[in-house]
Amino acid sequence: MTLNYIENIFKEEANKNIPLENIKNIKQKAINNFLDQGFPTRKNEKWKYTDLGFLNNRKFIFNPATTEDFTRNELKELNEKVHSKKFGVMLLDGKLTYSNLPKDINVQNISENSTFANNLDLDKIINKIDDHSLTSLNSALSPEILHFNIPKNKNINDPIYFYIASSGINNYCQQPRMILNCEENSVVNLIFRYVSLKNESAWTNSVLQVNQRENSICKLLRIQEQKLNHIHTDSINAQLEKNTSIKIINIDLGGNLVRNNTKVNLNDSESKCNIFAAFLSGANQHIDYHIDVNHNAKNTSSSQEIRGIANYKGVGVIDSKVRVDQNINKATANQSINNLLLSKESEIYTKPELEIYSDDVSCSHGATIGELDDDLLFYLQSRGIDKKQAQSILVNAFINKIINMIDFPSIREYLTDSFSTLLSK
Amino acid sequence: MIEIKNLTVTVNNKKILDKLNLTVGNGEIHAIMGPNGSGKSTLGQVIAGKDGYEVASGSIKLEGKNLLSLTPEERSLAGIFLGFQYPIEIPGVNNAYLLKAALNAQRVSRNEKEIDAFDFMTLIKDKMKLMQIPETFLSRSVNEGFSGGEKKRNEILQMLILQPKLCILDETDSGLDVDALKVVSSGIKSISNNKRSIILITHYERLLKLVEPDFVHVLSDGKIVKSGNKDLAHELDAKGYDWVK
Repeated sequence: MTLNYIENIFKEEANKNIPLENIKNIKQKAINNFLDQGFPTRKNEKWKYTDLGFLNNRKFIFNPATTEDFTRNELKELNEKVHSKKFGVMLLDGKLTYSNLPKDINVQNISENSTFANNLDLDKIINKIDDHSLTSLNSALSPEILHFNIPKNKNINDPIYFYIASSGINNYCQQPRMILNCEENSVVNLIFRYVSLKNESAWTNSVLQVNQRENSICKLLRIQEQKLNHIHTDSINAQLEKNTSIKIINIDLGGNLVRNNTKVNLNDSESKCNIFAAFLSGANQHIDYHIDVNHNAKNTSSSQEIRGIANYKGVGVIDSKVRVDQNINKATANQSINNLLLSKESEIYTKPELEIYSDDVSCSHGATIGELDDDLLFYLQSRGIDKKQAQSILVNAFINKIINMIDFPSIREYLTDSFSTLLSK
Repeated sequence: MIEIKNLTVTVNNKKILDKLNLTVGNGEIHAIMGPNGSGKSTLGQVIAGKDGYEVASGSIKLEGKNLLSLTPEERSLAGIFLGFQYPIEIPGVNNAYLLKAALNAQRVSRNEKEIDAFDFMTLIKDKMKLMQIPETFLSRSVNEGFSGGEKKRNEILQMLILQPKLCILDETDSGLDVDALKVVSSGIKSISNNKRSIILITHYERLLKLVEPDFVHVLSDGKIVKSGNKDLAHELDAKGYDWVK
């Protein structure tokens, strides 16, 4: 997939499918940015362990001609699942196919709604986050830019489920794009589930932006369980205003090559973020977490608790950086990264980083990579528990630190089972 | 019950047990005493099947069955229980879960149905009371943040639930105050019968006053150098080990 190929696809799309002039301009900027940078490779420090240069030799489709058959079993099942939720949204191949949202919450496709788009500072909303070429690619070629607005003072206790599905068209690159605008004093709880319906080799390149206005609270759980030959790259980009908080939980079990970029900017005082993450990278999987937390204002706080497991020939990467800018006093930041290697061939690379330019801050970080403790295994075995189950018990104990942060018992149970099942394979 | 013959065990080519012989009959209580580093804990761990020990020669048979070819879990299911000298903390695994998993492993191996939550609670209630362990402890992580006494009482509770054929208690009495020692010994006595055998590894006579042994052995440099009845423990307490070495 040469850059020329992608440029031509963009030209075609711009002529056919992008009716709004201002959107076209934004997308043009994005594609230029992408073409300047190309696919990320090892030469870029942030992509040191995950080289996407191989994409130059693959050919993906960005706008397939075929339409989805909703009677298909896998799709039917998923549809039923989404419909069964009190609040649910479904995106299929990057396009909104269903939404049942709480009252007053509306969703707009910026690419098509000119009145809506004209009232937004699109450059700021879209191009500003293009800090690596994959978000630019998404900005340029995502079929829909979906803008969800959580109005002022709206407090939604029940979670909203987002099912983001790749239909599994061979070599299709789906690019979901969602912007979540949390207005003043709003509270929202979101669960994003990335799934793929078929085994075909495909690519998901997703971008989720969260803009939080004063006093808003956002809880975000992302569970990625795509098929094992799926490439999954996604970016979460959160901008926090005064007295806001965001809790992000990332869980990755699926995918062949996975790269999650989570970036949080604490832009005003009393804003805080808590990031939790856990992955299991099994045979031939490569899972890379890249986290950036920027303390851009005084009295901001952040914490990270991340647990990675690699098994068989799985590779895990956790590269996390907290940056405290100049003259930012009273910032607190904690980073804790723990990893578990379950086989001789598995690999983990981990890099916790604190970059601090202010004096009056309280920051800590720590990282470990270890194996299961033989003494713990023996203790369990000496109680009659077989080695495999003992391993599974200990791995679950390791991962539970993250799972227990999830508010919903049924999801906690589901994920505990999922980890166990994958480990017993 | 258990027959250990000519057992020689090395770690990194260093001999820890040296042609050790020990036979424990059904229903018997044996105490193994001896100075630090004499090989007492190694003996317990080798019987339970811990990795890292090289059995250079000899055999261990439980009711005629060769234990050395079994994994630790198979030995447990065959009826061996080792009470750890230093019970291990397992953060993130709660006590109820461990107890249930252990119990169910046993039941499954006997082709019985797994126990349900209600029957489980009924089964452990009296035993917890006997060991003076409050119910809140069930939801706590195994041994995490437990006091020394709580850890040892927890070991005995596991033993009471698993009802092993051979209980090996490795310094279960060390670090216990008088009251905790009474609780632990009442736990041991409650399980003792004419079929079940017990090996108490200890430094002190005080436990043996509460749980009276049939035999007392002195282990020194990997060998049993002297055996006798409970009076030997009394003598050792008064005179130390030098005279028997």
